[in-house]
Amino acid sequence: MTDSMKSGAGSDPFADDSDNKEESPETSDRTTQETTTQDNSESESEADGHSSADRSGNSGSSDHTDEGDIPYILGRNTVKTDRKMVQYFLRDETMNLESDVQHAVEQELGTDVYLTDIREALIRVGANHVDELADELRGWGYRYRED
Amino acid sequence: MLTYTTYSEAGGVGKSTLAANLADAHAQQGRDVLVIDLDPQQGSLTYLLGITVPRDDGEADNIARHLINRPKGSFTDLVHETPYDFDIIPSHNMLERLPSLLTQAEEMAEDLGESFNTNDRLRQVLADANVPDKYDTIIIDPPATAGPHLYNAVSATRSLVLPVEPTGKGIQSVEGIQDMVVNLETALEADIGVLAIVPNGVGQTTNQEQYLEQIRELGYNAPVVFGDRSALFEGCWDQRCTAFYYVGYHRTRRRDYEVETLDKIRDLAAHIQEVGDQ
Repeated sequence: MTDSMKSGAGSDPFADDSDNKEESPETSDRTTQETTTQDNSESESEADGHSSADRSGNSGSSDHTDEGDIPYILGRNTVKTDRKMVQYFLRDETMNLESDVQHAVEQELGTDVYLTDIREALIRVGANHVDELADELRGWGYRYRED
Repeated sequence: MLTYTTYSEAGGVGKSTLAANLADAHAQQGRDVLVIDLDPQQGSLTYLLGITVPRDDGEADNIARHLINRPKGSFTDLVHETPYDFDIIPSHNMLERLPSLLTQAEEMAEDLGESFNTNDRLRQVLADANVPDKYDTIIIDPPATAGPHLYNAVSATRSLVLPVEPTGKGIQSVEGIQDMVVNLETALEADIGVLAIVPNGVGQTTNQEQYLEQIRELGYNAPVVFGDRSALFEGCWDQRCTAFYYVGYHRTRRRDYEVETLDKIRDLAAHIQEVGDQ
């Protein structure tokens, strides 16, 4: 990483100027490298922790059909099976967000996904993030009604 | 000694909010902290911390005067105490004219045959005032534009903490900062390091992971990620205080997610201390 910023601390700005210049570049590089490796492994394990925790939190009570252990989308006859119709009122930007999410998820899964499925999944995932929901609503002005 | 600059290329990603709260967290851990506000904008760290100093009085001594070798008083008198157990050198409107003032001072120094490095003035001023003997932690908050404020901050700290937006644009800004840093390293003949990248306002979980992955690919460390905590941070600006104070004194009931955010700030401060202390 000679052509970019180093991860870790820079040189000591208040070390004696003479010391600074005498310090061999190899030594300082080596220490920085060590810090980098260590830091990376730490952040990797942390990120992994996040992902598994978040994924496990997403499962709802009925990912399967009433028929048995067949996963929901494989056991249903139509996309409307087991579903009640609910009327939604959404702003334009939210509609756009929905189709953005749909594209992203389709890319992630490598297959087409019904918008109806996306919507239900959004609600279920959202249900696990009440804090963030509350923050979003505060941003819409609900904060003026708090306490 | 722990020294770093909070910097982002884009405004409004919580740079000053982060600086104030990290300073508070370091102080809670028993460190002697000095923050330096180099941002001439009105809504800066000085404002956030509720420090009221006459910032438009050109006759009053201020940090800009010291940077151009025209002090009106001692350096010690520039330092103000905050209610949060750390000290601040507040901003002043004269900092707006710092680029041209430094150029003039440089010309004058040249005429007199004196050495004067316009990008290394702050480090010199701090060293001359024995600041490293009085404080073990210095955080500098420069404006979000490239220029002498930023260069002086980076030169005096040599380490960076980079708050970024969780978007492609945020990643691009990290890459832009890389270019700036490489040029500075050459100009200053100094190593510059990144203590942490701090994604701020991350909403969706899947995006969060992608984003952290990108940061890792760039070779940097993102020890914590802040979700969209706009209410808490806006509260800080409304009440002009740190997040710790806001949650402690301005909230009538405990909100678990806010306590969690405070814990993250403490974790980030601890991480920065571990990586950056030397």
